[in-house]
Amino acid sequence: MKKSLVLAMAMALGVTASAYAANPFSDVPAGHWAYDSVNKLAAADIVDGYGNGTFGGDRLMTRYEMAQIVAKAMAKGANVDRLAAEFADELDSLGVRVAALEKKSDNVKINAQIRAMYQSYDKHTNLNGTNATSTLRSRIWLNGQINEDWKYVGMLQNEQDLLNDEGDEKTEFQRAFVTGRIGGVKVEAGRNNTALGLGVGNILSHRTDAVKLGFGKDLKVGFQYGKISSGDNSKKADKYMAATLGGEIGKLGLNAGYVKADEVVKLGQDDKIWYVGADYKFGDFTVDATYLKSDVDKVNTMSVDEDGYVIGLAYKGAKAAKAGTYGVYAKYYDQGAGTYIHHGMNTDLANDFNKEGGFKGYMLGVNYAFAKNIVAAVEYSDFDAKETDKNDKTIWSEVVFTF
Amino acid sequence: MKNILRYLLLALVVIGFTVPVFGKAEAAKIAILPLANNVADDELSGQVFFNECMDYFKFPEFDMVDDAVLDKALKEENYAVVGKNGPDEAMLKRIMAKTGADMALMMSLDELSLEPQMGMIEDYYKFKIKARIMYVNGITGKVTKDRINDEELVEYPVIARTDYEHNEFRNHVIRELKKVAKF
Repeated sequence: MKKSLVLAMAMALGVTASAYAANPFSDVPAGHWAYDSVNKLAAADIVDGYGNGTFGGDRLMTRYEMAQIVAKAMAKGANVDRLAAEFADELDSLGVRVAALEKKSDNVKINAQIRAMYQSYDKHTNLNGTNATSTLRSRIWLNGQINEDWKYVGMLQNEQDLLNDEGDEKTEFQRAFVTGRIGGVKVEAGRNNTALGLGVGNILSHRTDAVKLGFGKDLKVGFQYGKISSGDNSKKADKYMAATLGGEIGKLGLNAGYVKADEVVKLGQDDKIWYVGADYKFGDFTVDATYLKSDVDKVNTMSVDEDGYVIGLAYKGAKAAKAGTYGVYAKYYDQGAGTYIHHGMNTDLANDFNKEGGFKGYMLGVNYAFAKNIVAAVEYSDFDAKETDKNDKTIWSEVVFTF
Repeated sequence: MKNILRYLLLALVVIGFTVPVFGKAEAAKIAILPLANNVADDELSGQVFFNECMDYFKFPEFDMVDDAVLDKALKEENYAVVGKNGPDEAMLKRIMAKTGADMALMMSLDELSLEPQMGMIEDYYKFKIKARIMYVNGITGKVTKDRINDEELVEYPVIARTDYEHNEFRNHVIRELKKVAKF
């Protein structure tokens, strides 16, 4: 490869050296056609020449030498995308961050995640007489990129009760779905976790077997239909359908939706829930608010509030891929029993209070990435039952390792 | 009869000599503008965009405008500043005229983010991408443009140990090239 290729970089670099240094190379005299370009690159420390004071322009150079020159130019801010693309492998071996993306459409990745969780209640007592729960959840994820439009995700989960010496554990296939596009329509089909009702899943966060469709750019429309699957857990509901709308006006996000679930077990009836919500991002803060309205005003003989609302404030957020990042968040909840099927918050308290007519109260949380792919979180919740005198506080914590 | 056969043979000879000469098509010249990247601290999207353009506009059907010629035209248009406003048909046509390109392609990337969602029982991240693309075909006179405005919730273990944002950007670029740059 002739060094004459390097001269194209002089243009891309756009270095406007205020004064050219004295001719640095004895074999590139002032009258040489490449004098200006070589001088520019040398002044910018992009090329060094050989130790004997020559440039060696007619000498063949290796791809590795060329990559070193490209790396120096990139460090100087030159737009050398074309050269970076050509020498991606060599640049990668030099430790220069390049777009070394997986090209093959049939690659399969296996990832895993282990979560240790501990939750203690102030008042609630479990069946085994303790006021705490602690589990070790192990997951193996299988991800396959079928092509640029479609991918497969599968996940096997094992969860062990750490406080129960009886060796209680369960293993389930929690995820098995394909997701992709048909024309302009996003499609997902299979078993996945579904979060509905904005926020943490103010209506539902649970495993479903469903088909989900989504389309639209400025106004995003979604439909989904399926079953709220229970697996080894107690059944939550039977079939469900949901329709969602979402859009943005500047930094203000607006969302609305409708969820219908058949035979919601904790309510003993079907449930229809409307919701509207907004979120606004300012700097590193995000504030959000959601209003929910259900058609359930009675559970057994207990009258319950038909509606509810959630307000939240969040600051940043721990990113697992970046050690040292953290987040702080606060929520206020006031939700009648009919406004949620299986709440998506971390603590079990919201779902425990469902038979008490719903819950209201606040939650504070913080998460922190101790190291790459190690994130810990702690939450404090203080909730009152909506229709009875019950109240409780929890401290919920977790450490999650992803690899 | 002899004359007919003679003229037929002459015609066959003419066709045999001329078809190889006139059948050879010249490569269309295309100006692929550098990605106008409005995402702060993003060093890679420009390379991703160019990688996929090189894969899509292959020689001998396409020949890219020489870097030096294109860079000169971009400087005259103050592309480093003006390009951030997004694709502009008039600007692309001027660049085609200055560079002798038959076609021009430009993309601007306005948002590419992956943010953790706190407090959820599952470990979700929200991925968002916004971009604009325009393709001017000087041969057919057609101008095609499109916008990308997409978001999705994805669980962290699905994307751990990958450059998810740039992988998804690449997938979007491939889709958009197939959609707008038809030939």
